[in-house]
Amino acid sequence: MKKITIENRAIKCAILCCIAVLFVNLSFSKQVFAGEVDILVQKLVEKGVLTPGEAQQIVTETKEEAKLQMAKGDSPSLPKWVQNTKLKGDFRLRYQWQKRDTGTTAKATDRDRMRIRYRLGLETKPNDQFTIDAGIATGSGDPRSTNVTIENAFGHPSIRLDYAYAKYSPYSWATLCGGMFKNPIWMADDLLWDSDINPGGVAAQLNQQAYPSVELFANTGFFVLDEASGYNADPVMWTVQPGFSWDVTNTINFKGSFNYYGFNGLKGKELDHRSSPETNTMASDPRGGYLYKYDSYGATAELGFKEPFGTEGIFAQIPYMGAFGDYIHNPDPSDNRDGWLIGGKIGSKKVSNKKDWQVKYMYRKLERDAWLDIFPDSDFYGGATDVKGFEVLFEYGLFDNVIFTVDYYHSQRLSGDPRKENLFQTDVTFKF
Amino acid sequence: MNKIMLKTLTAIFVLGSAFNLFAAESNSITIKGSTTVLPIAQRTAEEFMKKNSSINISVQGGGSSVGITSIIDGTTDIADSSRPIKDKELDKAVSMGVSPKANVVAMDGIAVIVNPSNTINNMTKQQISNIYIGKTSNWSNLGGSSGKIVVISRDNASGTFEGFTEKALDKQRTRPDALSQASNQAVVQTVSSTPGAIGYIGLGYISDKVKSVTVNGVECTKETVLSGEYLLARPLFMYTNGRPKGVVKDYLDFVLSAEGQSLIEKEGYVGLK
Repeated sequence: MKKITIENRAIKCAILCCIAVLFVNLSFSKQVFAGEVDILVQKLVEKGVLTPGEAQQIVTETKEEAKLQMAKGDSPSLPKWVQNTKLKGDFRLRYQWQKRDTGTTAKATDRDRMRIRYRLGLETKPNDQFTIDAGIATGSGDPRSTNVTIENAFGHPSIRLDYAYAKYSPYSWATLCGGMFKNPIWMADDLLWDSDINPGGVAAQLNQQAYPSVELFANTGFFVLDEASGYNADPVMWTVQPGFSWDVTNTINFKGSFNYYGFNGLKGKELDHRSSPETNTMASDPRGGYLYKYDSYGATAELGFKEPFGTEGIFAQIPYMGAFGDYIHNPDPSDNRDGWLIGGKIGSKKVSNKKDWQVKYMYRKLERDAWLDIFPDSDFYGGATDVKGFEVLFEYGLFDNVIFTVDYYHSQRLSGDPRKENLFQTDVTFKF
Repeated sequence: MNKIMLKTLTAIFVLGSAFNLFAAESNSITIKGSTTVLPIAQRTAEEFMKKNSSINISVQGGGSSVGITSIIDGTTDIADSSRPIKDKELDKAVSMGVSPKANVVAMDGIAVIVNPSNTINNMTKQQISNIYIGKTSNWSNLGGSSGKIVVISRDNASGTFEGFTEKALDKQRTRPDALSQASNQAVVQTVSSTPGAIGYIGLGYISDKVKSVTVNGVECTKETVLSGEYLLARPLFMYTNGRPKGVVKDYLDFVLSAEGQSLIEKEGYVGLK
């Protein structure tokens, strides 16, 4: 048979497109199978329309395209915005035991609780550049806790709006957010920010690959802390965090940032949801409120090693090891103005699948006026400042997206009576 | 509040402008991933840059998994991969708003190699599988001279490892005492210097230093790979986020052109034209 040679790329493209459309459509049909596309392409090879290489290319690329469309959930029968919407969330079951010294006699009281947390988020994309994301969660108005305690004769807990924001991504390197959103500040730990806090205001996140091994990033935000009558009186904060991530080698990564936090309208006022105990220094004059400004600066860093002990031998099962740290300094007070944390982790970089595991240790010291007592991790001495101590955490993937966690905190006050606290939590978290 | 708002917007503007300077220099392409595809990327990138002096292409290895992770987290323009993207990776990509588009640039065969002194010339898929999962440990069991089989494998970030595990071992686990190597060259080097060794490499790395055995009676060649006759054949990919655009498209068009495919053949791989 005489071979037919087609040089016209347009015709080949048309054939490719037809086959791709056919294949994608067939992927959603239960009656027709991919093998029929293979037969069609094979016939075109036999006729000399396609070379064997082009046939391989077409079949493989169309199969991969079909996989992608399936993963995206694209279906011709559903409206586009439904296809671009996804639900996400988690449920956590917790047992917590807590013992804190109550006074100068150092007599301690025990408390144990069974607690639950449920979070549900809905994310939709009106178009490629905008995302609307909103979530509800258990919990009251406390921004640092989504837990509810099982109590009051099966009393029903509250549900709150946890976050709601619009995100605009005009370029691949820029994202702008408005509303109440996930904290845009990168933190290697929770010395300064409880992970439940979703700040409200506007924020921008920028990132750019400066060199093949170096990525620059900058996070900045303007957060409203309270709304009061009067134009210039509202307490607000703004923050800038320039940083970089450097792949030192294929297995070593360093990520670091400088952090600046500025406040306005804060001095002389007192914010809601302070820690228990309240620890920042307050003015003694009749007007009260915060005695100091909290314009602060600091740094965050993490050094990570992939497969730190190689791929062979007894320690080959350890996929990641990292060390991290955090520092904050408030220049306004003359003392009690620094905070720092150092920690290390070993195991999986992130625990999400079956048999993933991680052990983490952190030691921290946060002086009384280094930082506002409305922000730190609420599990560490009630989220107070003027504290020091350590946390040990073990996480293990029981199944994919089912995580078992044991967490122990030992903390105490820095000034006056130490009033030590021991807190033990064991969780099972189901993510979806 | 307005003063602070002004400061914040100024900070966003200044930082945005600074980042835009980097973004404006988008006449650069970053390629990361499979060590099997690495020679293709290097050779075609060199030629492409000669023809387009204003464009800079950075090519790195690391393995297929590294490449695909990088395209998902946005740290590369092109992900080289010697295996198709996994469902789990695809789900993660989609959840992050990334659409990994498969661009097949060449075909490759995974050749099974032994030391040239070995008398074995052909192996069945079952025999290869038995060696790699630990059921067979002596060459005499395959009709060769008595001697321990030294099993050479690839690190698990490698697409060649993934392809071999899927096609030759039916996804069974490689024996834990197999010596893991980081590149095709390292496998060739080890097998050529170890009389009882067996390894597997991309077709492009076959050389006189090692002997490529036939698998189920079929030799690993360009023709058998393209026809699908050779069992351990696979497509090689350059993944992009969505359909390639701009300089990335120009580069991929060059890779798929007659000239680009010719360069790929010179590197020992199987061109598509």
